[in-house]
Amino acid sequence: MRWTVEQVAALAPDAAAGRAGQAQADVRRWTGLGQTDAAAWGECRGSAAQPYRTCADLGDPAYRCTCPSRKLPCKHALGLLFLLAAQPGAVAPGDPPDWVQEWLARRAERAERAARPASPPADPAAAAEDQARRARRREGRVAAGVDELRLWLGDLVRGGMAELPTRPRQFWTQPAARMVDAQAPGLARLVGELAGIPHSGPGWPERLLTRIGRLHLALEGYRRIDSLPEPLRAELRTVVGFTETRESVVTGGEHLAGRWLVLGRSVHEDERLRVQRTWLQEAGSGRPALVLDFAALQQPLDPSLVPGTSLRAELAFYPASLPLRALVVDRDDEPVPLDGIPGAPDAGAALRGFAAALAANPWLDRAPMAIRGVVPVSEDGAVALADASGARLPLAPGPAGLVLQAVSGGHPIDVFGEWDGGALTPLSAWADGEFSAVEASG
Amino acid sequence: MTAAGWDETLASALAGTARQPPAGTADPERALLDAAAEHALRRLAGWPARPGLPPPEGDACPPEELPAASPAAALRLAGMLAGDHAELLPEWLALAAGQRVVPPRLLPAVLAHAATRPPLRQAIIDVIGRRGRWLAARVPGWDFAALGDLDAAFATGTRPARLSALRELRRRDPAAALRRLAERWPDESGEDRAALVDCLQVGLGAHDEDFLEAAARDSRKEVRQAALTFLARLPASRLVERMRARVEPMVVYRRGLLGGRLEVAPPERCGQELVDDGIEPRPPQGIGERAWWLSQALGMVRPGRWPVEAAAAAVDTDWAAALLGGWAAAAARFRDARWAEALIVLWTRTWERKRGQLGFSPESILLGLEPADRDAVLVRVIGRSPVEGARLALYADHRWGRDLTRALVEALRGLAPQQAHVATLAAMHLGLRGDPALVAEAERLTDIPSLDHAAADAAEMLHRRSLMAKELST
Repeated sequence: MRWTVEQVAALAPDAAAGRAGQAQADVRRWTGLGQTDAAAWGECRGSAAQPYRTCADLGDPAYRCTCPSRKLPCKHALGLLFLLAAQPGAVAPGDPPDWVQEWLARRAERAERAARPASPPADPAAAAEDQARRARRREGRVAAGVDELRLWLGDLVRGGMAELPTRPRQFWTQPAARMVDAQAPGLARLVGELAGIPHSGPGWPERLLTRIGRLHLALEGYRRIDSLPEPLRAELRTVVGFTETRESVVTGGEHLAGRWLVLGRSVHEDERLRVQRTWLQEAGSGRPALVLDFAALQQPLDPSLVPGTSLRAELAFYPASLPLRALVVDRDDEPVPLDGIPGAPDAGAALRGFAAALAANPWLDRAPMAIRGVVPVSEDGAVALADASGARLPLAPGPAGLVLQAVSGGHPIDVFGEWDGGALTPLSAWADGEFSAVEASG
Repeated sequence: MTAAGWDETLASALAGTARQPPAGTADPERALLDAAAEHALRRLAGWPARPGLPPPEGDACPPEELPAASPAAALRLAGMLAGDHAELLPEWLALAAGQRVVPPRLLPAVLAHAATRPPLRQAIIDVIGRRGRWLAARVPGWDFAALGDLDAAFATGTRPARLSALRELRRRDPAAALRRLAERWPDESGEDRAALVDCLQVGLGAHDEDFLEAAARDSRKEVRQAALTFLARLPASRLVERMRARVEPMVVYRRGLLGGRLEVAPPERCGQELVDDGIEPRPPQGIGERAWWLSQALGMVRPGRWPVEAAAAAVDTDWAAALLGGWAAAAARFRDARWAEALIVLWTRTWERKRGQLGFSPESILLGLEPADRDAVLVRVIGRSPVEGARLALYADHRWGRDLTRALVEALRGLAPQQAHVATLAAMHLGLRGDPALVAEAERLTDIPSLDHAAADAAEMLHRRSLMAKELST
């Protein structure tokens, strides 16, 4: 595909790397530039005596560079892609030199090996037995944890929420830590998230009781999990904190191949980890998917799904009553730029879509929401999206509202984002025939 | 199923089931939590869109007149706004002005930048296009960039909004804008007057003369100074003419066989007529009254009235600092390149310890000149003394022309080994201000061992700037 400058910029692991890459996008720094449909390469003069050999697989995208940088892609690989994007004529078509061919061959070999199934364990019966024992032990701990949390929640409502703003932090961190011990990290997170609500300003009792209600629903559901239908059982196990391995999703999960539109991306940082959420939507069925990626703070996040593009790919979904989270198991051609953002025709339809999703997964926290033909309007210092009838969807507070107003200029635009039950956090917009990613980091 | 409504459930949860249990149940905690769970889901699923009126038809922004900056240029702009090579932002804005507009999605960041940086405001207003002005009109605190109803903005806006409104009014019809300013002038505070008078440099002309003559007697010093400078820039102003008639007999140059000499007769007293024409009667500490009056008066007369040789002759008089200080002010005020060069050359030839007696500093003269004249003067100063020229070039904060860039590159070659400090600083400025077309010349300077890093940085910076210009032209 022809990468655009903005898409290349989106590949950079951080803003500084993107700018450093842009500085490398100068033909005078390069020798031996060349490209085929699938790859591009060149030698870039850097601070070392020998030029760095840089090549990029344009489909995936993947990169290799002999420079010592640990950033991926490094500034040279970015520079090469910027150069291709801005001055395609500067990189002549040609046959890849040996070092590029070697790398491409090794990549193909690795891909083939990864596709082959792993060798079976020496003693399958004993391994399975061992695994089952571990699983039973954990089930027991989680069940005990759930009972403990039910008692805590009962005590909380017996004493009343009015006192909560004066409680010390340990009031919340202690039960959360107990849930970690009980191997129910999902419950630990749900309890931990309650802690800030009594200090979150007017309306906190409603918000807190809503959360408490859903936590209660998870605890009661888990006690009766064996009587639930399978998809809901899987959803609830995820809520409690059981995880699926990548392999089991690839082998056991539902597969769906199609053209996937990459509609938006957000990155959230906590103390040690960056979490990247990338939202996809299948072009034909409109089915949404969420691809997560995790990285330690200084490490790059997977840049291969570029918002504003679409690609043919096969996704495997994690088991759930509302399957959203998925893995990309195969992608077989180059991404192409989007030609629009599909979405609900008005605010009512968008909200009904959310209600339907909630009916499938009552613990749904954030759902993808796309709505077409809305005008961002300011009201009382906040921004809302007004559809043609005037109905408003409020936006989550943050700088994104102003960006939407700027790209709209008072004209209707199409917006994609995450709906949290009360406000939309916009992630991208389609205005004036152009896709704009809206920064959302937290 | 739940009997209690959400409000009752919430009230009971706040008070605690111990005090306010839900009715008719043996397990109040369980009943309350069940109700909370059900209501929570109902409320989330049934959340209504807020009703409102459809957005009014005429509220949308009209189409842009200029193309948006290219994606590469936009990416660089975003980087500069985030602090990456922010020193190049003014150049980006100047290159874009009248050619390209900031792409809409960057407008919030650009306007927020302008809101906290008054010196960049005008340059930013020049590149935000219609969309930027449309957005600025809708965000409190960005009214300075809205330029909607200019009369209203000037009459009732915040100070930043009033200043940009006045500048825009001056751009459209200077005489009408001046009338508007004059109407309110007596009621403006000193601080407002100082800021407003500066806007008159837009569309400055003969129609401003009466107003400026009055402003030259203002009670606030910044207003007086600005008014005098603007009066000097009018092709013919009565005040300048009156001052010339007074000063000509006081400073007479006589040509002679061995160079000329000056006959100097400073004013004996500072009468009301001088005070009315902007002369400060009371000198600063350490300067004699008559020297002070002479210096100020001379600063208001076109220096071309005297041959430039008079500068050297002034050194031998008893009034050297007053004469040279006056001419230096005049050279800057009247943008006289010949006098500027003569004074700067005199300064470079003066022994360093005696420069303090000259009564002026060369950089203030240089900064008064038009960019092309600055370049020409600097090229000649570098030709005479590479080290003084390089030092002075550090003050030239405009985009240098090719000749000056080349002259400085050559100067650095000679300078580097002995004057490493000046050479390093000058190389830095070469990168920031030099003509990017000469990046190859700058790269060749990396051969010089003592200049190695500085020259490489300069070449890198020139290269960056040339990319920046290219990005803005695609």
